[in-house]
Amino acid sequence: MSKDSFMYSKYFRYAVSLNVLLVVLACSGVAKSAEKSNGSDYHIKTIASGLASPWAMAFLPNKDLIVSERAGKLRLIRNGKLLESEIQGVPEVYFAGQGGLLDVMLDRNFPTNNQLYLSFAYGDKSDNATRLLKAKLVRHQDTYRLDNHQVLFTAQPMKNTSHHYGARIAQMDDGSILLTVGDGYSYREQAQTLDNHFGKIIRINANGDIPLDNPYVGNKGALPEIFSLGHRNQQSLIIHDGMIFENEHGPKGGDEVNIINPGVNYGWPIATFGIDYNGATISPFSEYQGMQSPLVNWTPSIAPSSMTAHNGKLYVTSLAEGSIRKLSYANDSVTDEGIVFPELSERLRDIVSGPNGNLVVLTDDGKIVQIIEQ
Amino acid sequence: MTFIRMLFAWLSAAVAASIAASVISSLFVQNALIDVGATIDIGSRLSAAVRDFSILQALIPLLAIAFLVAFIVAALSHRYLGGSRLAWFCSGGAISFFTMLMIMVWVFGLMPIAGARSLTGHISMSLCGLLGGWLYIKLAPQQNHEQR
Repeated sequence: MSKDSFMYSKYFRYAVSLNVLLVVLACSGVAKSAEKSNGSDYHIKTIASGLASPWAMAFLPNKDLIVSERAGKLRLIRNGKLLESEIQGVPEVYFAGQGGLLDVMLDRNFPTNNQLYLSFAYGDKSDNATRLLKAKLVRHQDTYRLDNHQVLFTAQPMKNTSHHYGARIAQMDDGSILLTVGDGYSYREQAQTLDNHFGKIIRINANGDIPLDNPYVGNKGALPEIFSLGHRNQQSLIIHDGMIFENEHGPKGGDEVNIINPGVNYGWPIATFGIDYNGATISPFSEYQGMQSPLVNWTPSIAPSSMTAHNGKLYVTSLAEGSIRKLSYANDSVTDEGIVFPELSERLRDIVSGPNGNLVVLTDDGKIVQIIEQ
Repeated sequence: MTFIRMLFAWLSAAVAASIAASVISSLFVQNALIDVGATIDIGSRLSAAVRDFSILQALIPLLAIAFLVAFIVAALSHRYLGGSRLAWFCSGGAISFFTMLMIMVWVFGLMPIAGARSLTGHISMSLCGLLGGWLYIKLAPQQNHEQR
């Protein structure tokens, strides 16, 4: 067969068509799904941008999205647009270092009581602490206003660092509130003693009272709000499947996911897989008798920032790794773990399962993106 | 030759003071864990102290800079104000170490060396500057004008 006759043959046309088809399929596969091996297609859509140092978000029943900015603002995103006007009545916060306005969470009975909870750094440079406040969200012009402020809790003692506030909030089935309190960075050993709130998860009722079934109620010298101890800088706290999941930053290495139970000591700083940022030893022990080892240990660090449960899996965002990790678990152990949605490769601050059944992610540089799975 | 000896004395002072400070920092960190209930055997304490020498890669250069400033000031002070050369250099070493730690707090907003978080730890580590000043005097050549 001559060269010209081959060029016009049906075999040549079939070959060209096949190549074009393969190229188109390959390109569409790259563009639409990087998780094709998992059998699920998705695309990522930016909902809003322009937020400054955002930290947490919460959807209202009407699908309005509230986002906290560390400088002390609550912003509102409505119909995919970041509104200029802010939510009024936000308490004054101490905005420095890692502090500022931090978590926002709606009460489980929000549709009937309009209550929400805010956590923030309170105080000043020499005396500051994690504080929890309850307020009522009411309509105000085109946005909302916070009324009836009630301070539910302020961590004691005050500290003089602007680091490690913890400040994630969760609500238990009985309506009581859990709040993470970080170790304040320079106060790490106090995470092991019960006379202070450093490195603890505390539990209080929604009116600020202390639940009588808290593990240290009645223990002399122990603060009755304490629910668990031995934490460093908790960045997430969720309740799912009747279990309390928490993650926290280790120092250099030793990031953790834990299942939280009352009265349990999670080890910091006596038991840790991490070392100090300058390379020094934090502790000779990665495990210690009487202390709970983590469900997941990330060494080197990924800096987990938040977590949500979605379709029976846990999704953890990270700052340092700039990723979303999906965890499958069974019988108190992780059975599978891997990075998903690799296109989102930047510092990720918060993740929630949105009202449309999609994951919604807050980036550290002020974007909100939706992961639409098909 | 004189310059080489001064250089050697200066670097030796920075290295020796840093090693001493690293050991002191380890002791403070370990004691803080013991204070909250940990039991640490001597072998674990020693191996942790050896691992803690990893901070030397940052500490030695910083302390060398601090000592450079301190020793120049000490030499000038001794020259123009008189007094004990040893006292000038030892106090200069301690003050420069203390100041360097304060600058770290100012820059980072917290104390990055765990052993120096408490005032006692901060002062104890600063006193390693005394060792640096003493070692410099022992190793550096005596200047004629400094022998009066």
